[in-house]
Amino acid sequence: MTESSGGAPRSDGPAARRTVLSIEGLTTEFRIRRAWHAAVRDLWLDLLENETLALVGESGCGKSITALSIMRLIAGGAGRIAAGRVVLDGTDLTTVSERTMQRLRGDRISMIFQEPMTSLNPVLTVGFQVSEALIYHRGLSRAEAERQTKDLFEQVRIPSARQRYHEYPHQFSGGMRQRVMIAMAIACQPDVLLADEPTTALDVTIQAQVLALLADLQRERAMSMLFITHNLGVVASIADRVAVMYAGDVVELAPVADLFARPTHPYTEALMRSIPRFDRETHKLETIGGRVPAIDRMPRGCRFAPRCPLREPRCEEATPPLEPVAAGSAHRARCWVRVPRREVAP
Amino acid sequence: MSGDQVAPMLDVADLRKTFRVKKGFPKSVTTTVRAVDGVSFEVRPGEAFGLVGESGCGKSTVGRSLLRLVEPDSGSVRFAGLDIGRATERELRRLRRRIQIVFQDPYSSLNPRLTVGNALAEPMLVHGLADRRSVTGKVIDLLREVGLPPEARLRYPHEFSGGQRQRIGIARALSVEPELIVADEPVSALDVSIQAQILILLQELKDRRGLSFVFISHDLAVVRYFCQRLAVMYLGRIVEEGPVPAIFETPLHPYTQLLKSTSPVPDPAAKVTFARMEGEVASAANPPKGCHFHPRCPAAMDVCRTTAPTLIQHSPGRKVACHLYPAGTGQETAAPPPASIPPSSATRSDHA
Amino acid sequence: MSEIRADDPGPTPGEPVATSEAAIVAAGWRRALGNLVRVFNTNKTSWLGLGIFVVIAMAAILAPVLAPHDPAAQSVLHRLDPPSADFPLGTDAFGRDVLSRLLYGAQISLLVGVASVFLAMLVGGTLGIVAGYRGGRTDTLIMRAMDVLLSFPTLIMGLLIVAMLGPNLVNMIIAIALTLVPKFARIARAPTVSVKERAYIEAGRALGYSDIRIMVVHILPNVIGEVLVLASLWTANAIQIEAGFSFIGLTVRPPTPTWGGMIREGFEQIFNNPWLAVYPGLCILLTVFSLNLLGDGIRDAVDPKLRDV
Repeated sequence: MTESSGGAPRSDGPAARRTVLSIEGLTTEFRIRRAWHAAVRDLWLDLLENETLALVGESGCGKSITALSIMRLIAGGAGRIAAGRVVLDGTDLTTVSERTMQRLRGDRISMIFQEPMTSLNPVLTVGFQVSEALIYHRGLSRAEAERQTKDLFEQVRIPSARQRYHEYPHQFSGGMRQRVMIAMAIACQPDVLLADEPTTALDVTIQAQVLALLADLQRERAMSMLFITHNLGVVASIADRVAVMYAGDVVELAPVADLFARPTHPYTEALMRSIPRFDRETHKLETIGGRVPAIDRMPRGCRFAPRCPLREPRCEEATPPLEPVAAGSAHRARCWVRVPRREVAP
Repeated sequence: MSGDQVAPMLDVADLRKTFRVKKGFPKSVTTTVRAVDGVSFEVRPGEAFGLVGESGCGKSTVGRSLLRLVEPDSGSVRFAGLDIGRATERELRRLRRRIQIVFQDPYSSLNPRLTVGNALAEPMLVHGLADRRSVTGKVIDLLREVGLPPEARLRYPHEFSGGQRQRIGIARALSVEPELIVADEPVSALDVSIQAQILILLQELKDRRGLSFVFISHDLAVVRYFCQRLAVMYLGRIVEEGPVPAIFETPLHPYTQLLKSTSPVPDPAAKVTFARMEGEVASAANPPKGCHFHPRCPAAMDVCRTTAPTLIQHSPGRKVACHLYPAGTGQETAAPPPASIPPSSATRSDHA
Repeated sequence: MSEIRADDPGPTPGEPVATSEAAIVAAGWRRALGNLVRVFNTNKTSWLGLGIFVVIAMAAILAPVLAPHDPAAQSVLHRLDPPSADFPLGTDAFGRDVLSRLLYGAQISLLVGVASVFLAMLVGGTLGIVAGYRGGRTDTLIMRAMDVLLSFPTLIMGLLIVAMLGPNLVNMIIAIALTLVPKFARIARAPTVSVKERAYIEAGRALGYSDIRIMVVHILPNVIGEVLVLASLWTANAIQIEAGFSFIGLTVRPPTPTWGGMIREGFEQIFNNPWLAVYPGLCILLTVFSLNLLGDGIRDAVDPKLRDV
């Protein structure tokens, strides 16, 4: 077992780095009984170069849909991108043709998913599936693609990589399949990698391996990674910045240390208070009353207000904007009231 | 802790279960999976006993064996003194009331064709715990007890969220008034904030009804919150057992230490080991000889490759199966982890 | 799981708690069938199929009332007559009224068709569920027995039964049912095998329910949809099989009219009056067509996309 060798310290604050992927006012809607309702509402988010941005929230908050919207993978009939732009290196992904989008997917922007078993074709060898990306996007010959794929397998630390090129997905364990998927995603050196709960289905010891791999790859290739998860522990391990989502909106955005030290949105705070810890005694576990509203029954004003312990009348009237918690701060929260600051972190 | 004096509610001794799977055509290959390979432990009345491990360690099979949903190949399970394996049809039926199970997946744990009320009424009617007059009232009481309104009895499962369905599943288990509940990953499939709700509910039920639990989970934090004692399983065997705070504070077995160091903590400053070791995880179909964990163990010695260590008493209340701790080491306090295991780890954030 | 549920059938009006074990059994079945009906209703062609079939069935049941003549009554004077006021569809070679014979013939065809499928559904469905649920040796035994039955061509089966037991209605029904039993067993076994892995089945076992209870209350309502699809489609086939039997004379003794028998007799008169063969053929066609529409409707209702989640 070897530890992380540590990368170069990032001395620049987020403001000094350029934006690689910009989500501007994204609204994705789904049709429920003939009416369209927004699952993701007016989302604004920037992914900077060479960073890992965690998108964290519970089910139904819209984090997966955000990723699928970026990749234009929302199923046609029942869902649509109703508004907004997603700009990757100057190109608005929401308006390009499907042909162009296919060229971009897997090449400039890639995605890995939660279930490696169903994301890999069981009747094709893993080598073929990864080579396919290189052949399609880079026009490599089969032989050259095979050579590069074997290199990739070694980079994602698949043991006996050269022999395993010819094996099938069912011959791999869950963690190994995930590495194959990672190899497929990074084969063409994308600028952006979307990772949708890539370690949720894995055992914790394997998860640690895969997270380490992703962290290393992100750093080595100066790639930007949007990491979707519901696990705050994983967020703390891997993220540079964190965006907390609730009911289709980003409710808090902050560098990771700030988020955990000073959660400002009541939802973020409630979430942290509801997680038991194994590294110390959890004396009191707190719950959040109520339920996430269904997308066709969203409340007016702040969407979290009905369940919020700090709720005030103004919260139900208008939706608060995502504003810095202090002048010039990189930490922003969408809340009129805000959690009061404490001297000592919990 | 005079718990040793009280007779255990559940006494599992040397439980074994092997699955044989025949696959392949035209020549079929039989894979033998030693899912449970000699597991023994006790659960005291009113205690929550945790069974922790990753996938393939056999904890679910152990849980199901306790209710004879899976028939063990050998070993014994004694509940309140009665040998479950030897029970007759009649005795088993009565026993089925006393031990119940809560499942992981709230979406398949309820029959979609029955209303919630009927799902709760059925066990009571079948066991004669309610008659036509009292059944509706008892259903409403159960629903209240798990935090659901009486109207829920009229509805079908698909109208409820995951957390609510889990409550219904718990209510159904409670309907026959059990003394011990096997909870098989009861919160793993739920959202974070809902997990807390269910854990708190289970805690309340445990206190109010004096229930014992066998709590199966892969999540260390949840086990630490809920359980008083726990056993760590790896590839069909228990590698460490003891009281919850002690095991977390000073884990003895290298696998327990690995679990602890790789489990992410919601604190950016906490040290998490990004394990970069390579190699496949051992499979239960073809476990390594000797100690199952030796290929991954940083402290593996020659003896580990040939001889499987037995689970022995390390200090009062604590057991461990590891050659690092030969019998007799450590009296009052647990021995510190051996120095050969790298205690250092990298922080995720390298920058200032 | 996402909150987005486009297929949500909406809140149910609610149902009070059952007060006895039997009531719970009934409730589960009712719900399963109710689901089918609800979706069936949305499909117009299935209503058409049902409608036509009901008309034919009514005609058969009311044959004694509707038929202008005794189907066996022969008339030397009116042999091979064209349609007239007295004989709306004319007469056959023996002077018997075609319309009356068609109506009474419908009784036979429908009775055999429906009864044989019903019998096969009961026996085959039960065997399939038991095989699927019990697994192991029981499963192997039952399914191999089904394979044996399956290997008998329907015709041979019919001949065998008739040879052994004699040609009458009941034996025809048994013969056709025997060939259908293995198909129902197969179609009931598959969903049983997948349903039995669900947690609520394990919960039932943990709660001490007997195997029978589990199969009847928990497995059956989840299996019945597929079985009904097959039942409706195979009724059409069963009617055709019966027609085939009676065409070759392997059926109830004359002079009882059957559609297949009428076709054969019509064949013999094909140069005199081709319509004599066409009328019964058309009847079979219409019946089969309506049953197919019906079956399609039920199949759509059973499609998992449209069911309760």
